[in-house]
Amino acid sequence: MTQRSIYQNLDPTLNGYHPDWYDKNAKLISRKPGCSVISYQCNGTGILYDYSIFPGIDLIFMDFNCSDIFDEPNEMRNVLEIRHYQEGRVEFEFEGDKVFHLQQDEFCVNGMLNMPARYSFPFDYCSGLSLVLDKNSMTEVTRSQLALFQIDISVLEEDLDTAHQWYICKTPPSMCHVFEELYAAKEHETSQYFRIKVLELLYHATKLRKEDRVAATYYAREHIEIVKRVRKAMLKDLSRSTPLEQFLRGEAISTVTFQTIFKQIYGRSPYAYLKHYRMNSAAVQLRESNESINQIALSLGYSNASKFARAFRDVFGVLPKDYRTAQKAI
Amino acid sequence: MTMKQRSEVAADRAASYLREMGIRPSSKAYQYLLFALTQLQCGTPFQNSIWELTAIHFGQKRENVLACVRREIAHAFRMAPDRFSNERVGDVPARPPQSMAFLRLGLYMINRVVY
Repeated sequence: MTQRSIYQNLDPTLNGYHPDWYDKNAKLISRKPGCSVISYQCNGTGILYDYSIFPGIDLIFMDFNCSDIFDEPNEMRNVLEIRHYQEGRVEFEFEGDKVFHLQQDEFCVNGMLNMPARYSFPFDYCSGLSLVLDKNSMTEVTRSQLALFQIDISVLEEDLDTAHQWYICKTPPSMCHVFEELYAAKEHETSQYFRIKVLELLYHATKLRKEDRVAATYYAREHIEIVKRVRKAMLKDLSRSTPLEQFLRGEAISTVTFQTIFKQIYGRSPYAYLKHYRMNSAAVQLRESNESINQIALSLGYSNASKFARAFRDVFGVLPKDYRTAQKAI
Repeated sequence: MTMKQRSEVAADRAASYLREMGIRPSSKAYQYLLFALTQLQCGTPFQNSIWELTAIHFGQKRENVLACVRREIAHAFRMAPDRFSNERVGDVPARPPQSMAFLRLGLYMINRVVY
């Protein structure tokens, strides 16, 4: 006997495509039962995989490789959103020129209030997911399904106080494995699989405690712009080691504030960031050019090759010559 | 072992157990029981709502899933009641086990025997 799925004909909108949810430059590129693929027109690539889980609940995977700034649709929606980023970080800009960053392995739960006006990716790449619970589109069936597992969205909102502020915390181990399974299943599994994982995720979300909340640190847009401008200047000429103070001359920011914001955006202190950037450039040159190690060291501001070799080993764990040999063998 | 590998191993163990107990792989109940046993082995937080979870996964009503499972367990019992004997007491039960008891026994056997 063939049993019909109870989700068949349940809701005609259960197709994972909500044009009003995405940036105005988003375009639907493919649509399969339960999953839509949306592409963002940008200077690079931006792809969303939108899986319909239950009526009113969508799981959206995001993959961005671009430096664009996207507008968040400003229509007030009655939603609750859980966001997590596997790689990269996101810069959210709110009304009033306040900016904050969500980092890899942090996750947040946010309500319809305090929705960001814009967002971008400081590393020019980002992959993550967003679980969107659209309360207006949720049907009684969805609510009753959630209730079977003691999941009540209103209680979750109340417990985490999402009406007033974002709930941000380090991803707890119980949720880490669910996120890991979700990322591994992207494009391979069906909505059926995601349904179970989403229930697990929501179940664990109901166990979150207010005390584990991490306070979000907001910075002024003008400070963020200074930091980005100075970073660009720092990377312009890698062959010279210019003191940070020189870059900050004439900028309306103190060295301490600059260093704090720099670390917030890029995850490292300016010195460590520059060192990693130099070593990544070195790795590219070692792989793709025939320049001598001495020449590469000089082009990156190292006065001698042994100092450069030490720095390279600190970052990549091998000496530049061994790295080049290994890469050539591949 | 990755999550995926762990879940594949769990599914293999569950499948061996179900076949050993006479649950027909061609039946719908086999799919339901396989899913439920795999989820339980993988530590689902919904141990007490495993039938609800199974029903949601397959897009069915819980009652339909349970009825289907009950029928298949009853069939397996009719075919070979000895398989359901209590190994400690040695008695063959008079009637097939309830669906939840069958799952619990399955989990116990899977964890005890390395397939």
